Amino acid sequence: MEIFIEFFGISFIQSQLPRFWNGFQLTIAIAAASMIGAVIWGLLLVGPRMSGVKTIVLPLMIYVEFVRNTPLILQIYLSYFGLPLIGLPLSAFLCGVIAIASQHGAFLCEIFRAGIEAVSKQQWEGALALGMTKRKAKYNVILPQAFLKVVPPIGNQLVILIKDTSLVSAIGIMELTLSGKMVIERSGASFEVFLFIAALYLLLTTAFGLIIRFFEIHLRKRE
Amino acid sequence: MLDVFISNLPYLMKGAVQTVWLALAGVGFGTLFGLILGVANASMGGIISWFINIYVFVIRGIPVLVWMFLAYYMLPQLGLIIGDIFAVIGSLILYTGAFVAEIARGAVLSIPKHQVDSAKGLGMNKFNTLRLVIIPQAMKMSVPPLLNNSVMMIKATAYVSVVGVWELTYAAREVVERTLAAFQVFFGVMCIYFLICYPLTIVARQLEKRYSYDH
Amino acid sequence: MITDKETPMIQAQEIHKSFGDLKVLNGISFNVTRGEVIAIIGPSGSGKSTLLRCLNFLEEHDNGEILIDGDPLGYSLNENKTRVRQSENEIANLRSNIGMVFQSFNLFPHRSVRDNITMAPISVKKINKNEANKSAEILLEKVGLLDKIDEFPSHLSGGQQQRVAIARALAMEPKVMLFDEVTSALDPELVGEVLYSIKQLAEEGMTMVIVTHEMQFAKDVSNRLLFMDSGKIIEEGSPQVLLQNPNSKRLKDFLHRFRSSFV
Repeated sequence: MEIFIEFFGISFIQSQLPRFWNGFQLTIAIAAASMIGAVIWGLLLVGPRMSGVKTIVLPLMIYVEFVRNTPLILQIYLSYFGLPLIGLPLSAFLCGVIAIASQHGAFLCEIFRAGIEAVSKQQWEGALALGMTKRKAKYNVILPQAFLKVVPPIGNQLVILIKDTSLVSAIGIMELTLSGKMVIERSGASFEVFLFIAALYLLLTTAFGLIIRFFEIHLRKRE
Repeated sequence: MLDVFISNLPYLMKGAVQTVWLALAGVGFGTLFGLILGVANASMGGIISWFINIYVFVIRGIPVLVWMFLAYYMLPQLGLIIGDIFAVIGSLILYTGAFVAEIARGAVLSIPKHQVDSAKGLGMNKFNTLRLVIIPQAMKMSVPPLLNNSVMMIKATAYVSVVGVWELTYAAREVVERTLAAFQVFFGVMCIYFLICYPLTIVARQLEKRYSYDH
Repeated sequence: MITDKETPMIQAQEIHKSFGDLKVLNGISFNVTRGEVIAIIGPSGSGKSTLLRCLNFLEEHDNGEILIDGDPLGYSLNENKTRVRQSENEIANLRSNIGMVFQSFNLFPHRSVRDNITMAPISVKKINKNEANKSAEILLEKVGLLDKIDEFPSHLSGGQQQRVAIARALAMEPKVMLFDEVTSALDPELVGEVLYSIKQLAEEGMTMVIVTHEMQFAKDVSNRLLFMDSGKIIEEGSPQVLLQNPNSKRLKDFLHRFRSSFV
């Protein structure tokens, strides 16, 4: 094992660094774009989801349940193979981002909803009794409190999103995972390449986790 | 509208069977493995906990697809010619184990301390306390999260297609590349996964509701 | 509506309210004149909290009319004399003239005491920030908590939180204040400071409706006592008379149960 690492490992990996670096950047790009898309999608969904109007709520519930119980890879394939067929020949990158954002957006919608429902009914009463309209009460009292509650679960969900970006390797996007695969296939390198890839992902998820933690602590300071 | 999907259904169903096998093997053994790890972590402490925690942290911080690739390339190079399928099953077991270990650990730790105290008071030693008092209750509590975790892992079996192992998703892609009927086929296959996963999600939800009344 | 001093501040006529099959208010009628302090007592389930919450439309009455300073609350009667539900803005507007203090304080945990008090005046009454801050300081001084103005509710004791809640309600300059068992959730040693603040308000001439279990306090601070049971007003009158010489058997039993728990 040590012989492998000495011979192929570090010096070889060094020679391939540019490839890995490009892959790493692309992974971050996909993750960032998907996170923004997912948050926006989740926010767009949560309003109608909580509207109480059965004809709107029911389809949304079905959509969310369907998305949560089917593999993301299929949604990525559907996006990549299907969108061109309906007149949207988007790049693989966009197809991947759309698929990831829509799945994670559905999850985030449920997280937002749970956060809002977790704010006690009594907060509503306190606000309404002061003469606030439902709208004012929602924006000044309820949503700020819901926001504090949802930060940890959203953080977890986004870490999963970072890991899910590896799936777009299946549609040819040269992000970190596919970069690793290419290097092994083309230069007959050994598996340590994937150890290196794995380490980079671990770095990404850990760093992101720490950022969320700091954010949480900073928000808590105000209470 | 669904003609391509229906005419290819026999082929796809073979893939579905493959998926079920992969899920049973990967999730089944992975769950057993994880339960042992989790209970050990919660009850033994010290170096064992330390190792298990690192294991969980590292496994969970890396995409399951990367673990699959790693197993796929690594095992043959280390002389373990066990075939692709077993390599990916191995990675599924490893990955499932990490998540289940956390679920089990959480469940064991959430058993109120006074239960342990009463057991001690009755003269039970640590092993019996674990066996008769803690584990039965922890296992009961764990069922909903374990079911949810299983759903997650069943979805993960679809990723083995990216590594080149044949199952439902691989078959679906084959059919679409041949017939270009992307919507019907992928949507239809998503429905097959849904039919496998959703019942588990529902059961988990029902059990969760029931348990929230117990305490 | 600009009314003269003769118009009662609160007029409740034949109020009925059910929750599903459960009839909670069974034809309640009473008036509260300007500056009067009414205490409502009764066993749990008598509907007294529900009645109070109807007075600011947090609960919606099924039948009857409620008028606050002459203005109908919640429902208006149109030309055909049918009930029309008021718009959200109309209701919010009426509520801004009615102050309510809750059993569980309901302070906003994510904002400081200062913000809790100034939020509604700024966003609802559109008062400018500096004026709102000045009023907040005066009100907190009044309830003895000026030094806590920049604290967060979680750092205050129950009694302090309740007094902030009173200041918060007063910041809207309400015409009438409603108190819903405001000391029931407090540790005994904190009750006194809150009752003292309420008493001060009464002495300044605020019209108040107080639902309470504190019999001695009800006797001290109110002009008139209402005893409720099973959704009806059973007895009504001066607190001294009612508490010393109850007429109805139900009130006698209620007071007896009360007194025996102090033996």
